[in-house]
Amino acid sequence: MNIQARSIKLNKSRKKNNTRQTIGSKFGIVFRMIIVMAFVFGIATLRISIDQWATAEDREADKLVKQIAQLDREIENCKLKKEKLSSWPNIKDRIQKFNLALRMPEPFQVQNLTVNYDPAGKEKTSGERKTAMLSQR
Amino acid sequence: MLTSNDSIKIRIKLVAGMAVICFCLLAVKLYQVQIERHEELYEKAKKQYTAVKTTHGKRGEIFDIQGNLLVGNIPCTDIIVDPQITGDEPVCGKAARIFVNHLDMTYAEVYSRLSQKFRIRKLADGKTEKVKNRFVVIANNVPFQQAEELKKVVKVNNLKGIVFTDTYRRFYPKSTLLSNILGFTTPDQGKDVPVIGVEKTFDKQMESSDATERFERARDGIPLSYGLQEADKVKNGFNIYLTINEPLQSILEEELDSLVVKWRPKAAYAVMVDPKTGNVMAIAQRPSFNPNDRTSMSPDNWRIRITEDVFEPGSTMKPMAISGALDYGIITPNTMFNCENGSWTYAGKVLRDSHRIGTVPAYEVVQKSSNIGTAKIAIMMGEQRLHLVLRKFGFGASTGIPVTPETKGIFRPLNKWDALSISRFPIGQGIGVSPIQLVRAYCALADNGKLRKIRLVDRVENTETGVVIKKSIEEPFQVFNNPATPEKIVSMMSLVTKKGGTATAAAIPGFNVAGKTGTSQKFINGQYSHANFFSSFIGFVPAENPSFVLLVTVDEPRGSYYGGAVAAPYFKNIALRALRYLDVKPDPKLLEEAEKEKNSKNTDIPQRD
Repeated sequence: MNIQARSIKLNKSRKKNNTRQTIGSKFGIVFRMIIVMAFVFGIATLRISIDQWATAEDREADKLVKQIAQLDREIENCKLKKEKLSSWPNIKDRIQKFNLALRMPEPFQVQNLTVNYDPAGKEKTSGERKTAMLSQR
Repeated sequence: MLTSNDSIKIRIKLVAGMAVICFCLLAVKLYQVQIERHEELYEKAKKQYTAVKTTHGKRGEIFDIQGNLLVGNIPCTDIIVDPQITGDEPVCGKAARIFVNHLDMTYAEVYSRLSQKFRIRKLADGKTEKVKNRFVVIANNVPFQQAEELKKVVKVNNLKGIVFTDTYRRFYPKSTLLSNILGFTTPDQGKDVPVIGVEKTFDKQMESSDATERFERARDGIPLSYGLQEADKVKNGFNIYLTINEPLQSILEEELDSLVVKWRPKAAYAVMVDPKTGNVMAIAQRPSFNPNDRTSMSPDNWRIRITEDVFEPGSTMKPMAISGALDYGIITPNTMFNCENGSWTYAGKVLRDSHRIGTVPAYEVVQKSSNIGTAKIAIMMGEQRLHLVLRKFGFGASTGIPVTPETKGIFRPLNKWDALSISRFPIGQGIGVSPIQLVRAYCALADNGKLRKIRLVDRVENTETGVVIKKSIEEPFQVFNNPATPEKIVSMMSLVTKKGGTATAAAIPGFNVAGKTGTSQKFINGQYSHANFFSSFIGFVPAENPSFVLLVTVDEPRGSYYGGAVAAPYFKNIALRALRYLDVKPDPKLLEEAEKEKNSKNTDIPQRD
């Protein structure tokens, strides 16, 4: 009987020890899992937030690209408008319309001023050469 | 009897069995989706999140030598709708009213397009089927400003299914200016197809290519930075810089227009070339066209007469023949010639002068434009020498101008000359030249006998790298063997615009103008017409150091036909304005002489050929 009682005691004490160990180890595993999951969650959240940030930046960049393209088109339109307005037939029409008493200067009334606007001093093409005509009356 | 434990076990087994079956079905489906239909479904998904964007390259632009734009690309917009999204009838009606207010279209026209929900498609077997219409063009090439306003209105009214596609259209900001040489393009399936002129000759350099960009897109269509991205590089065309000077071109065209008003000719041409480089400074013809207005265009207006047409140059040919005789040492400017009082028979045919002259020195033969005197000089030279001289001046050959088509003119080979040829070719009869060939020959006379190729393009610019390739000026061919010849012939030609010459109307106070008039009868139905003429004046100024060679030719003027009366005054007008623009100062001595001459009441001989 004693033996039984002893053995029961032993079993009981073993059970208590096992339960303690299981709870401890289980908590450890859960804790580790929580850490791993938190890490994974963190990484995922980071990735999502980076993607979100990248998408927002993309959206902004796309908007800017569109704006630049729009401005380019406006510039192109203005350039052609300017070319049209600065053509001689158009200027002549305006002179007539506003009745401006303009006339060509006599040859000896003209002096040429050459404007060098290229600081690098590289060789200029004829298109780059600008000559200002000063007419004295 | 089943105990409750057994019942639970069975239920568990059933559920587990069902789960296994479900799992198996799922696995089968997964296999089908992931393995069997992988390609199909992957493509389907990819299509949904992959977008393709086409970027159009810009065709190269054309500038004058100073960088003034002559041909550009104007931004415009194509308006496209998806009738499946536009909405029901009232919405379509509202949209149509908005479009009508901004576009040059009728309400019915716009409404029918907006509400065209279905279309009939023809199948390969000839049958037809009704399909959903998802693409209708409302308007093409809507001007930039107009399209921008329309975009705003569409946004405010929250109209759906309307797409604005940005494009470019070829635009000629100077309208008719230089239009014949610039040529034009015609749009074909989103591409500019060149038809004629510089647009066609330099199409390879100016053409652009489109680029396609494939990217994974977000729900709102913007590209995802971490997705797939593939893009070709868009290629813009090269820019072409012509040798043309826009202000000079404007002067030339303005004067040509007033010539057309005064003489109402069938056609008229004017060409200005720098003899020292062969650069075309200005070039124009009438009739012309406005490349921005397709309704005004006809082949007769847009063909390039200056390089394509052939005409008998008449007396403008004489300086070439006479300079050859001077160069061979056969004559001097003072060699006397009997001009037979205006009528002389050679090889059984009568040759006449427009005014009677007796025995005169060679310089007077040029000054008074004697056909008989020139024919006698040519006969002294002989056929072979005359043929060689005219060949050396570039007749019967192309000029090098990069414009197609270009005629080589009509110049018979020596073995096909008849007995009359030697008396007729030096006076510009029986020989056909293009206006540009004639100008090239005069450039050689003006620049000490140096025959150059005609240049129209100065440089080509790579728009992406900024590299500019300058077109080189080729070494000229020397026409004369005797270095004294150019001076002699130029001084003889200078007399043409002086008192007693045939073109005093071309004289410019303060400058020595060397030139020659030309009046040639048109060869119609096998004989020379007495009613249809070409009237020309070609010359260079200042004669001793020419700034340009200028030709003015009038085809069938009405009222008068002598080159000295019809073309010479316009030569003077153009040259005077051009000299002022180029800031070429007059010689004070010559200016004084001109003033004195103006005050004296000497009369000149009538302005004739």
